[in-house]
Amino acid sequence: MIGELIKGLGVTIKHALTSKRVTIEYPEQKRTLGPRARWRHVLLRHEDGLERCIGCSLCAGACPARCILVEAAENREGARYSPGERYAKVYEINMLRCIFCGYCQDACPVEAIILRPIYEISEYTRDAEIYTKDMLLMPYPNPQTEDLGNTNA
Amino acid sequence: MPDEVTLTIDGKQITVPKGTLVIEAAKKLGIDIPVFCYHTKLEPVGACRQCLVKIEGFPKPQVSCSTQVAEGMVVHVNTPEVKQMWESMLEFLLINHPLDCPVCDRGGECPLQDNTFKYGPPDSRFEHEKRHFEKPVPLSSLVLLDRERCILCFRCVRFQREIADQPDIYVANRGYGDYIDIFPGKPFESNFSGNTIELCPVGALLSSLFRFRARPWEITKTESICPNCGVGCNITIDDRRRRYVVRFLARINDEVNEHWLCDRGRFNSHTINDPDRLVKPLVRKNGELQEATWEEALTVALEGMRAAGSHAGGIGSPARTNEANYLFQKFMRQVIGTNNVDYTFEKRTDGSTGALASAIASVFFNGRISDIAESDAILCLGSDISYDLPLLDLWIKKAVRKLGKNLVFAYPLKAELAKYARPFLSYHYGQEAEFTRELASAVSGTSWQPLAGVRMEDIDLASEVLKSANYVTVMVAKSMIESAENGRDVLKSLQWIADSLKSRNVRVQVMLLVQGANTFGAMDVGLLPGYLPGYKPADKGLTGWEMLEKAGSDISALWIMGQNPARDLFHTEAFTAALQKLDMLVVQDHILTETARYAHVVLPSSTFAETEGTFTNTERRIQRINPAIRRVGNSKADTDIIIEAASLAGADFNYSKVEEILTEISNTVPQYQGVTFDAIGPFGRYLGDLK
Repeated sequence: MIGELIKGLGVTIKHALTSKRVTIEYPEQKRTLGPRARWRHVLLRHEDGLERCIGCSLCAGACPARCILVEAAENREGARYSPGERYAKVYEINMLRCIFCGYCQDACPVEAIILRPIYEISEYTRDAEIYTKDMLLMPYPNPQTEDLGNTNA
Repeated sequence: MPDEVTLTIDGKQITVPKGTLVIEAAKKLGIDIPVFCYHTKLEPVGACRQCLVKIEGFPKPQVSCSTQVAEGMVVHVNTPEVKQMWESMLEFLLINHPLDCPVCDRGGECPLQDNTFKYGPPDSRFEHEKRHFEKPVPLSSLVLLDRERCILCFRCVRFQREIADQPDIYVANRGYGDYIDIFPGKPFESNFSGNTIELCPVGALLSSLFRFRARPWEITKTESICPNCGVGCNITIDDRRRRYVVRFLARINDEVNEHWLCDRGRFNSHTINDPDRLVKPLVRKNGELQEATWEEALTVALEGMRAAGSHAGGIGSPARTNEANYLFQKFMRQVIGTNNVDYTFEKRTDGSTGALASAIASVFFNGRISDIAESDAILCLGSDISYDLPLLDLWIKKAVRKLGKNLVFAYPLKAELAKYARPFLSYHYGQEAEFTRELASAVSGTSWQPLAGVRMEDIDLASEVLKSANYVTVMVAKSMIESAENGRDVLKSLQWIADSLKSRNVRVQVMLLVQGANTFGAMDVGLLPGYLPGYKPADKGLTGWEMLEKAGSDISALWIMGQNPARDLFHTEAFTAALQKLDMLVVQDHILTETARYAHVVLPSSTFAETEGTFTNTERRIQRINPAIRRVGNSKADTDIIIEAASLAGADFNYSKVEEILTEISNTVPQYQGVTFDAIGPFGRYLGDLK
């Protein structure tokens, strides 16, 4: 019986010494994601800084998890957020409910919302998991590459 | 039969009355034809050309919405040729219609969108730039026009012209240049303008209050009743996330409001969504209203009310449900021990309440709204219907303009309906009794003298109109009986008119025009001084007016549910002074009204959009209201507040559901016998002919 034990332990030790390591030392080291990885949403802007989102709520309509809330309002003189008449005054995504299916991206008629490989979305409270518009929107005027997430990190 | 026609549609035979439109015959067979300009309640025009069908014998396709059926007609609908025509029509309409559905309020409930999905072309072949106009153009503060989206079906213009007879909007220019516009310098002021928004088959006419507030698929719909006047129009409350109301839409009920709503009812969601809604009970401590718990507030209120005992008073509301008003009077009478209960603080003349109550109990008021258009003559007394009960104004216009019936309109001022009247009788204010007696004398053939400022020949003409009819509708404002000098005589004269007409074999129906959504119900359930539920006589009590008059002397505590006497049109100062004399003023309302500012205890209650219950309208049709949104903060339904107060006082008010209160009402009030939520149904139940 002891012989079998040693034999089995031998297999374990052999694998430990010879095979390639699969563990990654996160957060010092980050996993390379696939080119089409879908994680956190980003709301894009036009080149002139106006928001692409027109607040049409089609993303919320397409969302199978019902995790998007859009409340629209009208662009007015001196307070223009997007081209056209309508913009999203409130845009919230509940990241706990989101299943990252990408239907919102699919439904968007103005290509305003995209899912990027930004997977570091853990928070300490449930409330903090409701991402608001200013968290989702691309910064302007100085967007950084990491704002869109990097597939090769 | 000569008045019937048999035709064939898609190989199926159908027999319909002569004059039926092809599209209506097809609808009876369950054959769907896409339409834009056609509407059941509007005259056909054939403007949009969408409903083309093939009729044998005609060389070209015909519009089914304005072609009448003929004997032996053979119609083809579901053929590739007709489908091709529909597709081409849609492609044609879409040439100039922008594809901005994502930002359009109609997107999701748009007939143009639906028909395009069903019958339209898969793609557009139009390569050029579409038309562009300034948008949106405000036609009024409520209605906005997006000219790019208009497909020129003219439903809005036709509604204003045919139904409302307030043609404030028109079609400008001709042909390709057509557009809907208002006359220069004259805004779209019709009090039915909101209906054009609902009629619009695209997103061309928009509500400024609903614009961008919700997409149709985010809306939850709840069937309810408009609480703004006595007609009791059927509405759907559209809300978002059960949190706030985004709009009211008309719900079709052919016996009450048909397809329409007035603007006062339609655009009235702001009080429900008011950011200053009361969320916690308030109790006056050291001279200031401070937040308190329910138990604390109710204990203070009960203490004050019970200390007053028979010197306490309760004023309910004609805008609260039957259930709330019933419990309120029961609570006042049994728990507080006072006979001073009323639903209003209007001034009423002595004895008029009793006269009215016995007239109601003897089923004198047996009129039906849907019979207005059936009767040959309409006698309308003492009410500016266009303002007081706007939907009845549409019924009268339909009877007079479309069906050629006669209107006798009696009102001191030249109100909107005066121009349809034959004759219009403008009696002097304060001489209602004299005037009605003159009219009654003329109808019965007794001699009389003109005293009320109406010419003799006008009254004679009116009596001729009434006598020559087969069916007469008499509509009388409750204020004419209750508030007018000698209002009891008005009622007597009315009974005289009805009796004289009946003796000439004229069918007569009489309607009592009340202003509150539930005035009739409040009276029925016994919220009347001196009358128990079902108009059973009780010990005499003070009316609301008297309670305020005697505040500080005979009345030391008042409980006011859903009323605001401190903002009364004529008596603000007197009422405000009266309220300040009270030892205890309890106000139950959803916002801090002017009256609530003087209260010792303020109890936050629900609006009709959060409440379950029933309203009884001016023809005594009992209809259900349903809760659409969640209760705001710690506010409670009126019924729950009273039940809680009663149980704190140790009384046995055991109701676990609102329906149990209704069951008790139906057992107590003979006119409501057998009424349950199920028996009421979606369109209400008419109780006006029950004794």
